[in-house]
Amino acid sequence: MTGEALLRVRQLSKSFGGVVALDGVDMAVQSGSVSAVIGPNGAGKTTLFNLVAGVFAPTRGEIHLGDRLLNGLSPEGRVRLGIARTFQDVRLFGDMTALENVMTGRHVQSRCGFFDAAFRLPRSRREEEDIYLQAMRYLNLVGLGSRAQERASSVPFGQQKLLVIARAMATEPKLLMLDEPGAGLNAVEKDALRELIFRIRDLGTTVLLVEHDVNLVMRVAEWIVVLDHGEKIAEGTAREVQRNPKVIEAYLGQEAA
Amino acid sequence: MRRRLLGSLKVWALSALVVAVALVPFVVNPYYTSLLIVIGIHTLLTVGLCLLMGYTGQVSLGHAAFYGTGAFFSAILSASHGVNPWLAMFIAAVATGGMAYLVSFPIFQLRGNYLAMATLGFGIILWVAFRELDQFTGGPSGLSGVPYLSIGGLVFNTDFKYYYLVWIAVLGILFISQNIVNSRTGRAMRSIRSNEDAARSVGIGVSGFKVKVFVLAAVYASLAGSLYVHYLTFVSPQPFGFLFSVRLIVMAVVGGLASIWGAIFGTTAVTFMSESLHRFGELDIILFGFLLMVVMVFLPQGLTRGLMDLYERVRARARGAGR
Repeated sequence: MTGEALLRVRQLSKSFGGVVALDGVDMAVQSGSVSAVIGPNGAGKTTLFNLVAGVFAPTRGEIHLGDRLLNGLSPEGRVRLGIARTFQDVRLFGDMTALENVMTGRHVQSRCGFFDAAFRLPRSRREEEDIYLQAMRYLNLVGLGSRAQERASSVPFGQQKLLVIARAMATEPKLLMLDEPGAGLNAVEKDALRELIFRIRDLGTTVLLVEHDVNLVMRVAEWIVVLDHGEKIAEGTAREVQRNPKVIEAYLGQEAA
Repeated sequence: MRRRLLGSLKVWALSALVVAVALVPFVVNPYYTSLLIVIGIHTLLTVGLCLLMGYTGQVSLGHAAFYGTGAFFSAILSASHGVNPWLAMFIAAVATGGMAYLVSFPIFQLRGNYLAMATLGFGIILWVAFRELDQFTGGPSGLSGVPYLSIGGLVFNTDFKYYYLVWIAVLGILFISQNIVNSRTGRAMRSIRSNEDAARSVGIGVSGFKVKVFVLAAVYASLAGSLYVHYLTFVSPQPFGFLFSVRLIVMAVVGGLASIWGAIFGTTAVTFMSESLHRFGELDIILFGFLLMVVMVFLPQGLTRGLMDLYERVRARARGAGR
């Protein structure tokens, strides 16, 4: 791997009570890449994700985005710095339209507050117009422009998973973290997802995904980190990882057993 | 289709509302004018609750406390210290908003039922304070001699004049609130009600917004309190207790929590119901409880939206049958 690391994680550890969920993990995500974290159930993938997103604080270790130390920063502060995420269980704003969901994604890219809104100041109207146009652009990016006015909760599940990606992309992140984007999708939808991930990378956004579907990961990720029992056991390209005996034992061997 | 119907209905309803508000005092008898003044004042409170509960999803069972704080600040400053009533109203709003700001920090550490309990406790503490701080508030017997509001030579000393003052304020606040909910800020509020973690994931400062909406609702309540004491020219702690907080919630729920204009409807409906049941004593409390249950079970969007949906469903069925 060449290039500069966008995200660097050093000696990252997290314990919940006595349970060690993540133990001294080092990892770097190269700028402009598609990277993935894989591992069997309970390997600590989601914990790693939540630590980077700022949902909870690490017991030990450091997280850097570029030169900036992220430790101690709130989730919303990290979004402002350029980290956006999706959730395994989607978490759309169900009673808002698809468009409004993506419009909330423009929050960090806009300024107007209570006062501007209350008196409909010209700049608030201009900004609202801009939010609308940008949101439509991101809806179209994931191919959901035609569903703009539908309630998010009534959009089919497969498309909901695309809608959360549009919402996250609307924040204009440097790093987009996708938590199990393929879960619950059929083969056709997974192909579309893969195309979308490549399109997002081509727009200049670095992508980090946590994914159960090894097949999808092998076809989409340039760099793969393998976790098991909270520790990093391997990393490398798809080919390297697939040949690594530790990975076969921990991950693939488990399925064979 | 539905969107267009709602859109045209809204413009139509708005114009009708403004005309109705302007003409009412010429048509109805004086008793109703005074009732409508009270409804206007209560609407200011209900709108604040709609923003807080309906849009942001945060319960407050102590809203009457802010109403009372505004009322007492206005009354004490203007009656006991000779401060200009408008200035007193402004100071009251700043003080009430400031108090809301301070209590919001411990209170919004909590969620759901715990938040409800904390606001309930806060409301009760202030209600006790209104009664016990009698060197300032006049205690249970109250404080009289609150001056009328006036602009230049125009003194708002009759129901007829006061009606217009109150309803101009109500329409202004409704306009402002409607603009807020239809904005970036409004979307942020709704996203917090929907899913706080997801709201954070797009960079929305959840606790900051909760605090701001809480303060805004408190300022609305303070203005309502000021308008109330300058109308009666008298204040006592009696109207600012827990039961009134509950009644406000009933009004907001009946009107439709997530509907700014529904606030007028809910407030009016509940006030008229309560007036007509007056001679039966405490019966209105039972009826409100029942009403709250019925609305929550059958029309969770509130009466306004619920009836509109019902109307559309009936119309759609009629059209289907005609075919």
